[in-house]
Amino acid sequence: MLWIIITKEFLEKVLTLRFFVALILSIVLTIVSVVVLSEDYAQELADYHLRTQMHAETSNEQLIAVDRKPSILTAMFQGITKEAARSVRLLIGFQPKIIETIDDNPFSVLFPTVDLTFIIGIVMSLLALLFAYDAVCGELETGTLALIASQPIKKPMLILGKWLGGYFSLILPCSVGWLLGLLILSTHPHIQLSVTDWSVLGLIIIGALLYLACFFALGILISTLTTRPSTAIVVLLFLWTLFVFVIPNLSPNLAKTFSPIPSFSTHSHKMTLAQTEIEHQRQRWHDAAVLKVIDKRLTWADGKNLLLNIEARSTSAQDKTLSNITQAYHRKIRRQEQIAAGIAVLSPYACFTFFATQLAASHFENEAKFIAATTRFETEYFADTPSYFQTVVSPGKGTEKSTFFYTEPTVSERLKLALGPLSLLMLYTGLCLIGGYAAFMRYDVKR
Amino acid sequence: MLETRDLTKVYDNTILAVNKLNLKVNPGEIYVVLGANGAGKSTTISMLLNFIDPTSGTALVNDIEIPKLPLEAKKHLAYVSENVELYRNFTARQNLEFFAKLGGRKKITREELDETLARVGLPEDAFKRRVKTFSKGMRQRLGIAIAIIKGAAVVLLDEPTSGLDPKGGADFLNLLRELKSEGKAIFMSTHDIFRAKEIADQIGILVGGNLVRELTRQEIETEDLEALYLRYVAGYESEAEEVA
Repeated sequence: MLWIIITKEFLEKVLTLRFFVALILSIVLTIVSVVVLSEDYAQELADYHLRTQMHAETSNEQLIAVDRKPSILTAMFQGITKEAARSVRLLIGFQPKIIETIDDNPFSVLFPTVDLTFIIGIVMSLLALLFAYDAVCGELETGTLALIASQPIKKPMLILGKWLGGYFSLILPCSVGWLLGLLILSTHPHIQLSVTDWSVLGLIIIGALLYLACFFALGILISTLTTRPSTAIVVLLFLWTLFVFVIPNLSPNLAKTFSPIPSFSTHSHKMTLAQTEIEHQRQRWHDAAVLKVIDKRLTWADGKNLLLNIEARSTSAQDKTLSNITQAYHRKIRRQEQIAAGIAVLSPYACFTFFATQLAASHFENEAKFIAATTRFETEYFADTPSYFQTVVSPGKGTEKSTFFYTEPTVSERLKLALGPLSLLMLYTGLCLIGGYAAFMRYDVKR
Repeated sequence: MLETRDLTKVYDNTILAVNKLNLKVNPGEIYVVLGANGAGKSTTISMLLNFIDPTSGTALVNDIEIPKLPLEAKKHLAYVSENVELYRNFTARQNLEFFAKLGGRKKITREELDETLARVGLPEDAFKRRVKTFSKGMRQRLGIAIAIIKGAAVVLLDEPTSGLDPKGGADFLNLLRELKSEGKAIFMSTHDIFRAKEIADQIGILVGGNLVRELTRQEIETEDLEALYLRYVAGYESEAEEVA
């Protein structure tokens, strides 16, 4: 009996215009996106090799630039890739500094290429709602729900069949698009997909299926809570806008309200003030020491030692103070990010975006990891090198220096981070399914 | 055989929709329940199909208590509703096959489907046409085909002739006569007095949820049904006004 309902639901949807539109949209969008992003990736990879070579040639004992190798996954699921650091300059005695890259194509700013996160997260979620909104109330309106309910079939079986049949009809056009996209990727002359890449892509597809299931279940839920398809679609469009745009976009602003942090300019000003204060202190100590030497309260030798001691103390105090201020600032930023993420995950779209970008290593946490890796490398690289201010700069490559090589987290590490948003997606899907089931059990099948 | 015993439905503990309804429809008999909008006709059919539970009383089909064994009871019930649109993107054959399978028919041949569709008067070229191209009359014929192919002993019809043109209505009544001759017990709700008079073996007048009068075939032919019906409805309305 269940199979009869599933087949009917599937065929009924497949024969509609919306299925045809979904199929075309899925194929066209995915192919265009994969083709464009693959070419961008190939270009980015070539740039990376060029930059690496250039930076190797220009590096010396005090200055070096390190680069992050682009990955095909970050190209397909961009996350913050466009804003992320590609190269970092390391200068002895200074914090790592990101080398800005300029995109000389204004059209890519005006009309950015949509990545797969966008296609799945926004376009396909909307399709999921369009496939589900009239599943129950539409049949109420046409009278077929009463006709089905007059047959010897249990209500739970009916809603389960509707859910499964409708869901299969939704993922068919989506899967066709994804398969064609994967085919293009695997046959691209400049792209070599590793086992890790395939594993991650597989996991992201599983997440995408769950994400679409969540929106489909939401559609069924609203369909069982309304009696007219026109009402259901209006409610669903409202919820879709709320989940896809409002909550994710509002979350950083709400986080700012709950946990405000000073602007970067304020932070810089605070650093300058602290630096000035320490400098004044150093100057006072220096003057006092010089006075002692002039007054012959100290010998020249003791005076010199005292001045060196003052220098060392001042430098140490400066390093400690500035480091404390910076760390406190970063802690606040991190806290605000966590609050924003905590609010954003109320939206299934944000959950899917976090899931996909965590797996593709294009999440904002990966940027922090890369910068941390450059900081560690800097410490290691300049460990035996005298301070820039203490020696005469002598250009030339350092001998026996290690090479920077950043490796992205392993699949299991990424999955561990992605499990949070995945669990929430499961929770939301489960809630919508249970809600839809409960509502259908009470649903009046006859107008 | 269809029977109701003190079948009652009260909505929200306040609105009495059907009050202690007692009626019996024997095989080969057409029972028409007449009533204005809100008289309780649809509520009665909803209870007979177990769409809603009765507040008290019960209903039986072939001696199976509907509220207690709804799935078993539904095997013996076929339903034709008012203005059913069916699955618009399916052909007549696909619609019929789907409902036949859902009704419990495991194996069904193409010939059997076509025979049933032909029997209800659908032209052969319509068998493979999508239902969205059908007129209301054709959809109602298909609705009857769905009821026929189930092979149920009792057929429930909820205002089936509403919106049909005179010829469509007359054809529809002929189909009901055929079903009657096959021994089906037919229970039909309508407010179309003239068609009721034409086809019914028994008529029940339902007013405000109460079965105020039952007429046999002989009484139907002798009484002025229209005047009788209007008198009951008018009486109920003035009573309701007095209460208000």
